[in-house]
Amino acid sequence: MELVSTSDVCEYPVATMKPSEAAQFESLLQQHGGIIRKVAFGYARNESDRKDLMQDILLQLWKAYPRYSPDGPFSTWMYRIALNVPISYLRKHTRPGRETVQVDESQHDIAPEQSSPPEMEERLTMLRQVIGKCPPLDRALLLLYLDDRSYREIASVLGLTETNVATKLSRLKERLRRELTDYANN
Amino acid sequence: MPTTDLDDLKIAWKELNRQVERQNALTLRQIKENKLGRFRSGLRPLVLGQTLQLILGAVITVVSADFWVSHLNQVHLLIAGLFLQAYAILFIAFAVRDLMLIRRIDYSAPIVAIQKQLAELRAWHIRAAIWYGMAGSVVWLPVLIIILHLLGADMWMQEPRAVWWLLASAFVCLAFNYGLVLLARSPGRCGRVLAGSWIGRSVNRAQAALNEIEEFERELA
Repeated sequence: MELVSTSDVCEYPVATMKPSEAAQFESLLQQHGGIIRKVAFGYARNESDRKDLMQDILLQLWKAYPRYSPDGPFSTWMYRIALNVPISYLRKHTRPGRETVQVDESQHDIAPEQSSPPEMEERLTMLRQVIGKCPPLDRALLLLYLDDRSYREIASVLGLTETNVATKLSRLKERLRRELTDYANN
Repeated sequence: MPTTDLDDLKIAWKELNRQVERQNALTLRQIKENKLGRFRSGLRPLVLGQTLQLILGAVITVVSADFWVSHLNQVHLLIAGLFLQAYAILFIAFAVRDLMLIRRIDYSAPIVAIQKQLAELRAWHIRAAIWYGMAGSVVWLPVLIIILHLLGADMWMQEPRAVWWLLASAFVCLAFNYGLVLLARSPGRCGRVLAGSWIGRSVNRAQAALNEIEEFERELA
């Protein structure tokens, strides 16, 4: 799957990379491009916002890549940038404690011919609601949890200790179960 | 019938990724077509603003220094020039600090660290705006004296009483502004009213953002 080609990236008016670095960057992007999509889904309200957000994340990745050290996993580095971009935006433009984003169902970007069976649709609606209710920092934790990332990686992305991540996740799961119960009852 | 199993969320998450991935080629083509036309960098306006502030500060510093150096024998003009230069240096110092804080922000650092830096930057920015406002309630007087002098009128020599009156009103204005800041911090009714004002809300929002990050960062028992 094509994420973005080097020739397009090179047109960005930011720091230049050597051709070998650019090729390496493109290859890593193609391997881990799913992270951008997942984060964009988690933080954007509709398709248009999602495209803007993906664009912003790509630009920040490109700008930061010359400082990337291969000592750590690329996915961790990518998650940090991909999550920092929307969290910073939300925190700047909304009041603390009110950064929840309700996904606009009417502008949801799944084409009709690609829609899922009703049971899956129900799950998807539930997922959108749960994600939309989370404040930005908790949402980062939730996305990493849903993506089956290890405690170590979550801790490294967020800048917390593994013990703290474990405690936070346990509380988050507790809260999610309550929300799912409410959702099922309603 | 919906269930309350967390695994359902993970299943939905995987399905969603599959669906979004199918549409991704189209999305990325559109991104390529758009290039950076719609790119919005949260910090870009701040960088631009601080750069302009730096340039303006440098110009005022040079002009005011030139002014007081050429009026060493006229104490009132010397003081006015020095005061304006001090204000301009403050202007530059705040802009340099802002730009340094912005430069330090590296989005590849852990999220809590970066969000804290950004929240601190915003909180600092708002506090600096309050102090600018305070200094601004006095600085207009030396500016007026200098401008009038450059236009050929020496206020101090021609209307010394007017200068004293203006000076007194500038200090009353300063005291009033300082009083408002103190009141806004007080727990009483006035404090609550002032805290609800635009600047009060901005300070509170910045502080609330910092508290929220610290709360998230805190080790839980």
